Amino acid sequence: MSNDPYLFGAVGLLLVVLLMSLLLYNRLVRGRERTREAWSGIDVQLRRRANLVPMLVDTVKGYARHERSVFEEVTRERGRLMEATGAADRADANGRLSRALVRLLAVAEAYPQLRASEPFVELMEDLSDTEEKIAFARHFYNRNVASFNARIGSFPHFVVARTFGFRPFEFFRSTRDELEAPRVDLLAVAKGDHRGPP
Amino acid sequence: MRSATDEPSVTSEPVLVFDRIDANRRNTVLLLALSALFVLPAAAYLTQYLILWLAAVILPLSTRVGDPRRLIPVAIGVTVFGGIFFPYLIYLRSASHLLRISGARPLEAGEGTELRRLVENLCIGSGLPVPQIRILDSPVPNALSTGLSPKDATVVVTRGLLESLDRRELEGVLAQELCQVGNNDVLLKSVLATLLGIMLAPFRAAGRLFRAAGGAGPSVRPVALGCLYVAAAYVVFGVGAMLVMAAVLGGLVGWIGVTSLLLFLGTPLICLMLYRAVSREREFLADANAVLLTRNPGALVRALETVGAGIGRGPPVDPAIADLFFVDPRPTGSGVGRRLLSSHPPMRERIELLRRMGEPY
Repeated sequence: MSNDPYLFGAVGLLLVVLLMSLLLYNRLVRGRERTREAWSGIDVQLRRRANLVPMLVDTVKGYARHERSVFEEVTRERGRLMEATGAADRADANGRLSRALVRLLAVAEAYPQLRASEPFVELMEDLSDTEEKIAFARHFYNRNVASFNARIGSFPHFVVARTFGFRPFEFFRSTRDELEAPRVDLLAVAKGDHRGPP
Repeated sequence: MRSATDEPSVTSEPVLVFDRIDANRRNTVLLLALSALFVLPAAAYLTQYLILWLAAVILPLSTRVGDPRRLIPVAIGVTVFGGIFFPYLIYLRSASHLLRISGARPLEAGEGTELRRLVENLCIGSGLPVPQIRILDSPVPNALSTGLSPKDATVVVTRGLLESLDRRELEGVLAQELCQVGNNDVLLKSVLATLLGIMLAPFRAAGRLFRAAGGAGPSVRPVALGCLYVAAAYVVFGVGAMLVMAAVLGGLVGWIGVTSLLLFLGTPLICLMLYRAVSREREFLADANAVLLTRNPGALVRALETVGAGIGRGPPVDPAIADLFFVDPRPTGSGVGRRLLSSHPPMRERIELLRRMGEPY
């Protein structure tokens, strides 16, 4: 019995399958961790942006006290961004905040002194840098998500992913088209240079 | 400008981000193995040679080494040292060495805020650690990157580059360099260049001797000619000695010697071409990766044109670092030989490929 070739083959096959699942599982875990890491890259920048907004509101308030509705809108959208969970929701909230910020900048444009003031210029630079960082972080995250999702949906990984309950990640992308606003060059808007992105 | 959609629509090639660095690492290992296939016999030959000479000196002096077979362990030891350990030492030093040759200086406080910001952002987009940034005080626009791993990478830009490119173009160049860092291209190039350097060393020495013999004054010429004569005798003696060894030592060791000698004479050129082909492929790959990162092939094309126009205007660049640049700083001609041996793809092809990726959005 002990040298039954069929038994031998079956045990060998089982071992190979086990080893392969182990490797596939490890790869999936690594992919998941990397994608989470990429998400934290977006998270950091969104927080940074949210921290800059109150400062900007305060600065503009110093010159344009009566534009309360715009300030309130910006503050509200900032709050929503802080509360939103999930990649798509946060992308939505971020899009809304962007639109509110554009309105705030339209207000700021009427005050040349404000536009020339140092704190305002600095804030605009920081804000526009953060926007760019968000765009890059989003690019990195979405590419990781795309490859992770493709992986858990395609053959050998698919089996392991099903067994161990790996879920696809959400893209950082607004579900609503009108919120998928074209990136606004804040610096250009603030300087009254309305050419927009090339 | 980045677009609203982030799907990689620019190239049709499927992109698996977190696999790519792994894949590149695997390729590096594979290519290393391939080069080792060529290089190790040559290294073995060189060290066997050394052993023969040592034996020629030692044997008459001492009768203790009666049997030449006793030298075999020593030969193996020296081969291991000369073939693996020594190149490894060179390789460890290569990145900092290259940086020193380039003459680049660190950024001063308050300098290059924009540059730093661009690099930082691109690193966020590519998931790389932020490299060191250095400036090369040269009016010729160009850039280069070195470092054996993304963790200790350095990106160098010339003053001319900062002066002649706009923000987006500069971003394209930096993205290309960072992608090379991320792809471990510097590691690949350094390793190959080191191996090649070792293999070419005797040929370079011979070339130098020839030049010295031809151009030097009458006092040096006899010395140079003498050295050449010895070198020629060395090769001839080598073949003979290997054949003798083949007879004495029962074949295998000697035949390995003869084969490795023949390989040694033939492989540098093969290795050089292999290395340059790899280098060209990596440039193309980095161009494509950069576009994927910045979504702006147009800016990269403009940068290539600007940098290309400045080639050959500046002071000559050390050939050891020429391969690392964004655009080959040596003025290149056309022709098959030049093409096979150049470290960068022809400018026209690079631009053509980028144009085909389109000016999206």
